[in-house]
Amino acid sequence: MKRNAAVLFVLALVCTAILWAGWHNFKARMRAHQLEEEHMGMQAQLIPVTPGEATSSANPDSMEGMADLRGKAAPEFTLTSLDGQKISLADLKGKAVLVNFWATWCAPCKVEMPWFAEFQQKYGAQGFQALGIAQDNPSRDEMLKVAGKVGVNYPLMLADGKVGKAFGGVDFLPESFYIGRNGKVVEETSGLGSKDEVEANIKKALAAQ
Amino acid sequence: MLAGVSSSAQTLNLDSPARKSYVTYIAEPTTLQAGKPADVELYFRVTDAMHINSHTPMDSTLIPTTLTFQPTDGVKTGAMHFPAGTKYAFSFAPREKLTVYSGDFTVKVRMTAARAGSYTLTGTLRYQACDNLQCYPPKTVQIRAILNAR
Repeated sequence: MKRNAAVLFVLALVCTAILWAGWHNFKARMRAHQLEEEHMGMQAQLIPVTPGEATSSANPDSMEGMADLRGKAAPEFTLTSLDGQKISLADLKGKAVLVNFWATWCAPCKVEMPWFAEFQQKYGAQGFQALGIAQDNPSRDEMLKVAGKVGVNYPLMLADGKVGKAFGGVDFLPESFYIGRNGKVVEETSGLGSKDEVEANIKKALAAQ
Repeated sequence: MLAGVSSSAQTLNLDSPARKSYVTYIAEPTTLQAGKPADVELYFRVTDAMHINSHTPMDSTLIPTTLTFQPTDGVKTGAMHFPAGTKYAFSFAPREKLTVYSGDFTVKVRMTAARAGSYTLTGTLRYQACDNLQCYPPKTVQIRAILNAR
């Protein structure tokens, strides 16, 4: 009787040990799986972006796909306007400058160009200067046609193949960079925004000393 | 597609780079009668949330959607019929109307195969795409139309 009880006790002990080991093993496997998932999640966040793509943005809706130049000195360029005048960003130091990339085939660009013309008229005396850079290499006649149609009163220039890259790569249009009087980019937008947003950005550029 | 389609639709997307193509050509082999002109239908699909200018955009500075074929021995291509575009306006300029294609659209091309046989026509669709806020540079999508003439 005593011997049976001892055997039963040992059997119960062995069973308990097996169950404990099994549970411990299960927990260890679950933990390992969880760590693996966390590691995968970290890898997913570490996929590199291609040049010109934004890595961070305070306003992702309006800056998607753009390099974030805000707070940085605006890239220098010298381009020739439709009337043959050489225009450098350096020549406009002390002014608030809007650098707008557009193309003759870009319908939303032609929606906002009359707004820029209106604000050029309104804020020009306060030191605002809009510049339009055509990214599609149009002929002079094509540019004149668009300029006449949308009533542009600010310089339109042809891109030189370098200026777009200097501004982070212009993959789609329109893209606009608002440069403060201090020469730094204060805001940048991609795509057609509202007229109120454009005006607010111009005021921001005028205020940046 | 014309009567006599001999196999199911196959999606071809030969635009490059792939991640920046906004129109897909949906190839379907077509059967027609040798020596008789027939309107061959070519199917295209514009990426969701995008649109491209129609064949006759309202503004002459916009880039129309066009189709061109390389010459193929034994096949004559003729008149093309593009669908009418849908009226579209950007949200911040509701009065500026454009005519665009979005979703699926079909172009009909008059073709005549001189003799019975199988022919492969190659061509390109040129288009310029935009979404509701911004536009992308003009692109082309390659077309391979297979005709079986009996």
